[in-house]
Amino acid sequence: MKVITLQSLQGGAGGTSLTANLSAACRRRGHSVVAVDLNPANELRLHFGMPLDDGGGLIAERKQLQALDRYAYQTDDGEVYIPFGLSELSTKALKLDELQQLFESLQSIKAAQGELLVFVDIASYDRQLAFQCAAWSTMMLHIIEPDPRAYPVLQRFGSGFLQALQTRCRDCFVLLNKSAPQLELNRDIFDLLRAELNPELLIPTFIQRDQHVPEALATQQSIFNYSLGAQANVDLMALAQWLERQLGIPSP
Amino acid sequence: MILVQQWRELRRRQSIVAAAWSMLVLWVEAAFFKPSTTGLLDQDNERLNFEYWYPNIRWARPRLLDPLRFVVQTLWLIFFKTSFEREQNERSAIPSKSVFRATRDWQKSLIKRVLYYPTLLLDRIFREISLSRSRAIEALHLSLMLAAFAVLIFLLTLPMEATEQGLLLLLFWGIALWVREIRGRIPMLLMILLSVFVSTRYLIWRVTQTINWDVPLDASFGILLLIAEVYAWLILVLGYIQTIWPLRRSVVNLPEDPKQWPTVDVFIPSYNEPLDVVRTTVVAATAMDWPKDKLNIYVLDDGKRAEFAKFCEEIGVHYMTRPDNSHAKAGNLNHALKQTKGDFVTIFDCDHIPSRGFLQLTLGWFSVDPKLALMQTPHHFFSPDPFERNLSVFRSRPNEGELFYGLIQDGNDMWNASFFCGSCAVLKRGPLEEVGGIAVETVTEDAHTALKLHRLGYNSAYLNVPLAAGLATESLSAHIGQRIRWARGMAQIFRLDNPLRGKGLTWGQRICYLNAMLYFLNGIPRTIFLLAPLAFLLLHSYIVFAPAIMIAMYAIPHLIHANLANSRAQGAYRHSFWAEMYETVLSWYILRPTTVALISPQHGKFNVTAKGGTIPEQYFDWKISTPYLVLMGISLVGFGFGVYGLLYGPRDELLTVSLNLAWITYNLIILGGAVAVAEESKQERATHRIVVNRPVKLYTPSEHCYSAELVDFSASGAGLKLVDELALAAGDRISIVMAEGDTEHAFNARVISMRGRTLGVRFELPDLVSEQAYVRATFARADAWVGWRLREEKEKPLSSLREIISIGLKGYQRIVLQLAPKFVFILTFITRIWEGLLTLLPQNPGSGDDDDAMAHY
Repeated sequence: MKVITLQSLQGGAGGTSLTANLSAACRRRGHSVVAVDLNPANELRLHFGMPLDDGGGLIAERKQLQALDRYAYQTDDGEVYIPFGLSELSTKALKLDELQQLFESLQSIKAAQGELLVFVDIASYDRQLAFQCAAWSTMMLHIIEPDPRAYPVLQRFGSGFLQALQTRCRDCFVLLNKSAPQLELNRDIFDLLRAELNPELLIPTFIQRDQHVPEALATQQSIFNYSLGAQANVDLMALAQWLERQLGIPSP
Repeated sequence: MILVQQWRELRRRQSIVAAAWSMLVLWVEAAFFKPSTTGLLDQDNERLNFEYWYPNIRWARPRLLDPLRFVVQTLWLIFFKTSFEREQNERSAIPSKSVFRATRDWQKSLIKRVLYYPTLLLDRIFREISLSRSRAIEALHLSLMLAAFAVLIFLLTLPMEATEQGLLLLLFWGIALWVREIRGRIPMLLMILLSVFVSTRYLIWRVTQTINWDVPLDASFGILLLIAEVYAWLILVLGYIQTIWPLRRSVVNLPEDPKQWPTVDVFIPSYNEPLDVVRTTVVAATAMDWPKDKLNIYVLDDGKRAEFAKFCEEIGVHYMTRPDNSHAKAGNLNHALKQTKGDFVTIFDCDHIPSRGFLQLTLGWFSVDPKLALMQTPHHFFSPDPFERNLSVFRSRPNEGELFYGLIQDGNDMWNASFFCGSCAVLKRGPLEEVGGIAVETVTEDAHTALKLHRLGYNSAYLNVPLAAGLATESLSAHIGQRIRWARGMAQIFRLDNPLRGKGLTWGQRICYLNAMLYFLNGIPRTIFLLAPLAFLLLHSYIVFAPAIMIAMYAIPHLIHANLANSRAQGAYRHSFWAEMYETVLSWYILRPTTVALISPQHGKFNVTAKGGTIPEQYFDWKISTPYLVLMGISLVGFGFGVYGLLYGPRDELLTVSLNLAWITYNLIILGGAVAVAEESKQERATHRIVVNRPVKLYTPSEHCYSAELVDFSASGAGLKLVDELALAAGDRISIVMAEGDTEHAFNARVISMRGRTLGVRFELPDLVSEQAYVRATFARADAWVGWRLREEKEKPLSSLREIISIGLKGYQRIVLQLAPKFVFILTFITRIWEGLLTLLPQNPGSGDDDDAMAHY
């Protein structure tokens, strides 16, 4: 099992969408994937077509996390996803032992072929959870959007937090999402980030800003199912390939 | 059940016979190739089809000679190896199981090994010797050379009977064919040596034994032909020397610190070219990767046009004019040279778009070699030249310039004699000023300047990497006009500043320059060769006074060896027989100017080569092809006489007549090719589209991003291929994202056309910054022209001959179509027969689809 944790560095950078679509991309490349939502907003499920009023998920079953079949769902395409579930404010967030329980039961899943890939989505503000998840993660992807917040956010990220994460998970990367070269500000910030970021930290492929992504969400499907010709698909596939190389797993 | 259905389906479309045939084919195919039902479903495996193994037969529509084709192809498949198999054999180390084949391989490899190791050894010895410079080795060197020379002279002059000569040459031919397959330069040297030997022997025989002094007419014709042959021999030998060991220089890095880089002046001379053509070049020059404070760009406008001045001011480059236009381009450059002071001068013709890495890749050598005064790079053309366009062979055959820029310049570089070619070159200011700037005495100022630099002991270098690209001449007449200028200029230098005389040159340099100049004097010899067989056929004059059998014994090996050696040495840069066509087209036109220039070298003026124009209608250039048509007419009459002689003439002349007939047929084919080029095909677009295949992204107005493939681009527009059809209409604004260096840039564009999945757009680049970015992402990409050159390992002279014959036939077809369209059926018939004969030849399995692809372009 390889756990890849995704976290947006600034709110709205697209971490949840990427978790859903990257796991769809990996599924299309033949891997067995599980997408886990640890974000209390409980939005990941929407990408997989779960009805709005269905409140099932992790938080409702937090007492019986060993019973994976109670809170894990599967799409027609074969991706397994675990929604966070609707919750009362007071009982938000999993405790550390519950998290432990979750990863242990995930470990019991037998991949149909090759290695099981687990994609975990974390809310952008939740540093503590990110730190906890790092212990189980093979890789952490920090998603950043080239907008004016990017620079200060990166500064904050680089002063302490990254180093703390790296004590638990060596492979931390920054992924540029929503690049839009036709917009001057976006392109300038994009170029600036690419010039200034440590090349070992930055993922060489990046994701183009594409209206197909929100539209796919609006129809509750992955982008691959929504529109095959979309650039986002090409980018996601490239990212999935990069991931394979980085994790050292063969593409089935 | 299925069979009945299939039958009904076929009957619906075809006649009863055709349907029965199709069923039969299907049945045989199923029986032979598809033993299992899964195989039947396996449509992807093309090898389970007849079409794969028999690409020369159209199974759906059988023709008369198909049984013959089938037999030939079957025999070929059984007894010969296809190129695919050969490749497989070279790759895999697994020995084949068949004993028969194994022995053959073993024999072959034994032969190869016997030859391979000695050549390897020789190669090493060569290097060792060339490195060491001790007295003893030099003495050994000298004595060996003298001994070899003596043997050579003896062998060359040894008189022989026809059979002995035949045996000797058969032996040589065998050796040549044998070593042809072996890689490396030593086998090539051996082939060249054989060729020189056989040709020299032929020439000596010709001089000593074949002139009939008793008949004045024969003697005078004979001497004329002999002169032409001596010329051809000289060019052959000089050419071998020139390209015997191409240097193939690589790039040298600049110092790490850009502060140490020199200052560079870029000169872009222009006279009457439209701004559209010059614009891209200037923008690309500003986008070159070089410190901005060390780069000065000058547009040197001899046309003194206000729009140019305005454009230069907008874009921020220097604009320069001069009071008079004396000495054309050379004078223009010299004027600018006096006004500027950069360490280096880079010259781009106004249509040569430099790639961004040009300066960084070329200037490194200057820091290594302080005596280096000139760095030349190839002239690369992204538009088809008249030959390529009118014969539809753009980017499928090596073009005319390929031989010079691909091989000869690299060969020159070995002798420290690479020439300046007027553009895409870097010159060091000091040496250039020392020789008085660009030479103005002749109309080929570039080669003459290089000659002057070499005379002062400066070095020149050639970097065989296309780093700039431009437009080829737009029509045959323009092409000929340009070559007339070169020919005249070279003849002028030959007279005014002869490389054989004067100080400062090494022998290698003298030979390289001599060959370059002599080459352009080929007008008279080439015309003589075209007319020579007529002397016998029409005037019954024995210009080669020898029995036909002796002529065949001497001349044919001479031709074969020259062809084999040339094919080996330069086949990748120019296919066999194409040179004949290129030269024949020019010969008549350079005949007069070169002769005039030789007699009175001061005459002649510079003419500007027209570029970037359009040819709205397909037309036949009668004016330019008149000389060939006349030659063709006479040759046809001669051919008629020859056929008559063959049928009714005296029996003892039969062989002579056949020889001359073969010669004149060859001439007729080449002339046909020369005429075929004169039909100018349409060229509608003013800006040329460059065909590429590169992933790009596309944003629709709705902010949807699609991946697409950039199919072609020009200075103003592009063609894209989409994955799916899109709801776009003409006039929609979109933006196209292209990689530019390591960043990405989006360019606004308007949809021009949308047909299926193909999208045509016109760019709207609002300011200089985006224009620069666009040029950097397209024309000036560092790797823009990488991979354009066709690099085949082996050229096949026979298939090249086939091609030339097809082109020659095309020429006749075009003439008849122009003159008497009613009779075109005769030529169509001949062409059909020719093509039919070609289809009888076996083909590589699986090559059927390729042909279609070729026809598409």
